[in-house]
Amino acid sequence: MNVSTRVAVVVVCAVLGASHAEHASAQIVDAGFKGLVQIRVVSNPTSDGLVPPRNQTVFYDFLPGESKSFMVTAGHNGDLCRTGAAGPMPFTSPEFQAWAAQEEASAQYVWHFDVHMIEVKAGSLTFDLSWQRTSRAAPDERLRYSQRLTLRLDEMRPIDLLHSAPGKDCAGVVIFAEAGIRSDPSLLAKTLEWSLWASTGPKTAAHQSFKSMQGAVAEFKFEPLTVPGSENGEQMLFFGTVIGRARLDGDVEVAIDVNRLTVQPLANQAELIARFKERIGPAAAAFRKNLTAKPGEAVKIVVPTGLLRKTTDPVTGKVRLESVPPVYEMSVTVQARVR
Amino acid sequence: MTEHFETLSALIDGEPVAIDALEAALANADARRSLVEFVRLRQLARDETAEPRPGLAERVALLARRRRGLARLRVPLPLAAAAVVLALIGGTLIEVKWPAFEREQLQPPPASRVLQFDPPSPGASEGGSR
Repeated sequence: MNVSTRVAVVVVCAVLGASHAEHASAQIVDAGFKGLVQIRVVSNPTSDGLVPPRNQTVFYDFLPGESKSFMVTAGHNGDLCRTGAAGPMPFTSPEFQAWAAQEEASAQYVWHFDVHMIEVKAGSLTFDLSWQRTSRAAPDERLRYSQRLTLRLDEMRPIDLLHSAPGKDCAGVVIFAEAGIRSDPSLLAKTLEWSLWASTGPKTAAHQSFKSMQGAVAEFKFEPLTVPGSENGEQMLFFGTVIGRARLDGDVEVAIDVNRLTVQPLANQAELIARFKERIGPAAAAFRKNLTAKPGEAVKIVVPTGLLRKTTDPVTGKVRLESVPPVYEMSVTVQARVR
Repeated sequence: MTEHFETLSALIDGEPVAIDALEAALANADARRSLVEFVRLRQLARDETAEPRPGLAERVALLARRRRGLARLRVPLPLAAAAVVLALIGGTLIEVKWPAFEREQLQPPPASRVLQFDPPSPGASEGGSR
């Protein structure tokens, strides 16, 4: 069976599996969106990059509480890069059961994955992933691994990696877990109207309002705010992203990421932009909060932060910077309405 | 013709009239029809019993005093109208930029809940076992 045939089979399997999905637990909760878990196997025929990698994917849309299994194989006909993927399992069709058994028997390596969805948020999902790898060359050697993963929207996490010996036709095989979120079709056209406030004190606040589509990432950035009690009149700039999903029960699932930047009041615009770009790079780590809110409910979220103070070491006489608690707590207040 | 009407009107009002003028007026057919109309109007007016509401006289007097006050300003009416229109437009613009309004919007509404942001975490994996 060539690669394209395998991919076709996998897709059919996934569709059939999804259509025959059975709720495996009484704790399954349908808020109006499902967590998409994909198991992707990528085979790299050459390490020099001359031949593009091939990949196959199996997936399932999980409600919280649901469990499904997948199977990945590699090393058919002595070629590690000849791979297969199937699921969700168990297959209800006898033909697919026979096919899966044949795939498993003819592969050099076989992975079995069990996925149990814990929770699906507006911008991330958490699931338990247990897997086992067996090798035909070493039947008694079973590699088992179990982990709880929280992946953000479209995040891809490597799960396992196999390298070929040097000189072989196949450089290696990598298996990834990927995350996605799918909204109920009745919610896809929903629009969220946001009101956000950033505050550094009782008299220093800024307001923003904007709209976003169901599940879409919306960016926000406030003007720098004066920080009461700062030594040098420093200002605080809050920026980040927010994802909102209307739920079937009318509430709103919110995932908000906030980052902060301390700026000097007289910093020129170019410097401000440069520092801002530096902070919103791929390595930027943001404070995050997931919450479920009533439409129009104002929820205040306190941002952990401190003020920098110069102190002189009484022993050495050296001046050093230390962080002290702010005079007022700094916060972002979020309010969402569904249209 | 007009003098006939004046003679007959004076007769209806009870004023003294010249007999010659009255004979001449009554000799004219149009004047006679007018006399009949005068009598009809007078009877209609006599039959109307509606009276003005109490206080009308005071209100009319107040309005009259106000008008006299405005009239003393001697502002031309077109100029006064233009001033009113400009004031309305200016008032609208001032309302949009009203500082107190902006300050009110900047402040967040009372929160129903107060939460804490979670600190950033480099990895989301929470352990495992082999």
